[in-house]
Amino acid sequence: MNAKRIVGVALAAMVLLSAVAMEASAVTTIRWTAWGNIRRVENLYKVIIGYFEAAKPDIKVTYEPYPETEKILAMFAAGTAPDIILCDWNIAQTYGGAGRALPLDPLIKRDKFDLGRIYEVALDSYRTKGVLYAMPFKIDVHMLVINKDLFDKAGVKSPENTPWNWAQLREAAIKLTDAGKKQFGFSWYESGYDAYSAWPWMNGGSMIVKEGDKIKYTFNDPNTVEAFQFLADLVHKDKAMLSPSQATATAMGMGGEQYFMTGKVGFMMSGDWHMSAYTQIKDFNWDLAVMPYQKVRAVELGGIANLINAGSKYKDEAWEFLKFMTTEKAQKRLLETMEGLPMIKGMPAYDLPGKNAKALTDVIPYLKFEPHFPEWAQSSEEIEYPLLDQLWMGKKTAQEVCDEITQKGNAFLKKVGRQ
Amino acid sequence: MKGRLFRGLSKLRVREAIGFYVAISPWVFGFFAFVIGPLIASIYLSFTNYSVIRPAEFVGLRNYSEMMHNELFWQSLKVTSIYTFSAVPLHLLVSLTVAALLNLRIAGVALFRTIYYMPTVITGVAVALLWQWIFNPQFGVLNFLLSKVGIEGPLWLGSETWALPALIVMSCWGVGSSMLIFLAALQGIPTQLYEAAEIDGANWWQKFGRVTLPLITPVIFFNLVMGVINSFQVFTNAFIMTNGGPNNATLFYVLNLYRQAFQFFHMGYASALAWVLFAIILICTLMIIKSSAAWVYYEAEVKG
Repeated sequence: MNAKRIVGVALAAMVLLSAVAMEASAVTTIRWTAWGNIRRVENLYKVIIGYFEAAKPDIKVTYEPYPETEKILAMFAAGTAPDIILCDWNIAQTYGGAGRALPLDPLIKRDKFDLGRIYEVALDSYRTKGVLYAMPFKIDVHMLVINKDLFDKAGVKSPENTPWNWAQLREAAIKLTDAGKKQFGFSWYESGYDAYSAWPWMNGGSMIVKEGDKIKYTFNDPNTVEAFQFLADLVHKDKAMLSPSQATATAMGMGGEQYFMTGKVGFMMSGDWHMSAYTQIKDFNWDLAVMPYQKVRAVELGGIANLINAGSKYKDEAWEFLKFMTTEKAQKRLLETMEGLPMIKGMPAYDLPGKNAKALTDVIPYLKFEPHFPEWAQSSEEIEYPLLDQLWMGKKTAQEVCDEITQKGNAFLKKVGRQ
Repeated sequence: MKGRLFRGLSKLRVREAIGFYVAISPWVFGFFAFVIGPLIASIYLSFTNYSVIRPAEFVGLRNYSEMMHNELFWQSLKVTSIYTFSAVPLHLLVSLTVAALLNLRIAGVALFRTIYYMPTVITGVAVALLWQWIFNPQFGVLNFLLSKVGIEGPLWLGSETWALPALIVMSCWGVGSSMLIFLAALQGIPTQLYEAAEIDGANWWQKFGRVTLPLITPVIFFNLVMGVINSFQVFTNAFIMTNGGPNNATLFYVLNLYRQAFQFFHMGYASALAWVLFAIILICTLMIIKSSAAWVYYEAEVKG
């Protein structure tokens, strides 16, 4: 090989390399962080990323495990936060209020993006002062999951899609209770806000209301007090419900869920995202039924969304990915993995042969949520939970607990300037 | 400049000194960047209202006065103090007893030493989850054993009365390291002293009280100080097992601090909490050190 040829080869290689480099630089890489177990990451997030990259070859999405909150905050402070961040309504309004989440309304307007396809209630839950800070990714609902074998043995009929009222629920719970076998008629899958919030609503009550710009605690609403007393009586008088004391639930690993899975609970209030666990049940027959009602039907809106980091360099690319996640193709993947319900209208329920999967979609018209405020994380943890613990442990009546929550809650709201 | 800095040192010593500073420079840098820096920052932050995602705003002593009026601050201090003042003595007692037993000359003692030290190797969340099952009121082994002797066990972690005692009992899981230190101390006691005591007609208790205990007081002192410091900072078990409940019965100081910082984004208030905790630990440690003059014996020192 002489010197000329070497130079020639080197030049050719450089041209080739720079062509490859140019090709590579045309691809934009955006970062998405989202929480979830390995199954959800591999089967849902990464599959949707695959769909997206196939549809938009010029954008690459890197999935990053959701870090500790402190790390996300530090990343924001350092300007290295991911372009897209999975969030709940609380995170969305916190980051939105601090100018860290990009308002989506201008992009929606620019692209004439059709919001009519999306459940209005889901969009609303991510709006703060009328500004949309996150795009819903999925919605979640509650349902009753029932142990059919215990129902048959006790001669109780599943309500299926005709909701029980509270009297019917209580009667069934008592029939399904067997103190000798430590078997409870009814339980919750967990004990926090997501479990108790719907009960005051069903009775026409409220816990928190918004009046103009002001927030008010209203636990002392007689309908709310009545709802909590109904639950407390189920626990302490009828002994037909497993106590939802927060600590009891935590101490048991998975709270009511563990009892249900071992066949010790007649029916349990649970959420659609737990379904893949129930499909593994081999020891007894199970089915689904709609949530009960009293004066009205009401089910808490659950779900998650994605927000765009306002400091991102690739806002347009991030927005493309957010839009893609609302497509039928992406949303269908939720159903296939049973990780949540689509946030776009007109989609079917989970494919569960022989089970009443309609219990999940039938309640969508009744979904609701309470007025949001950024300090709620603190007031629920410091005021609502400890006081409700005292109700679940039978130390105080619902009236005493609700009065105290109202009084302390409003004092707290005054201090943080919400009243 | 060189003349001033290294005045009076021979060339060799100067070289040695330079080598020394070069060798420790990574550590010095790390100390200033990752210890002193954050420390100073957190003192400043404790006088601000800071949520990380917004700039800090100076508020003077407000975080500290807020603390004095906050019932959860006092509750967390109460829980942590009860824990410290029961878990630390219990810890010392258990680890010393186990160490004394493992100091006996019996067959297979090496095996027992390994077995008793083993739990210390497993720490953190795994242990919390394990004990969660032990304390489970319905399926747990503890209530199962109690039921065998006719006692209906309490709800343990689900009970306002029993949750804290449960965590105190559980803390004995980690006695391994202090046990090991005690064991080393016990083995370091010269056998002539026991022989002399035996010649004087001392029984086992007298030997233990007059020879063993005084000679291991420096080690008791060490384990006491470390125990107090660690107990005030306890966090993981309450965070994983009870989340501070029921009704704040296990709201430890650091759990409250963690919530304020990372759940409610009150980084300024949390920094103030951290400095108050530092002051509390410092005062407790100084008190123990001060008291040590009265009860810690070094070498052949005679007191009273």
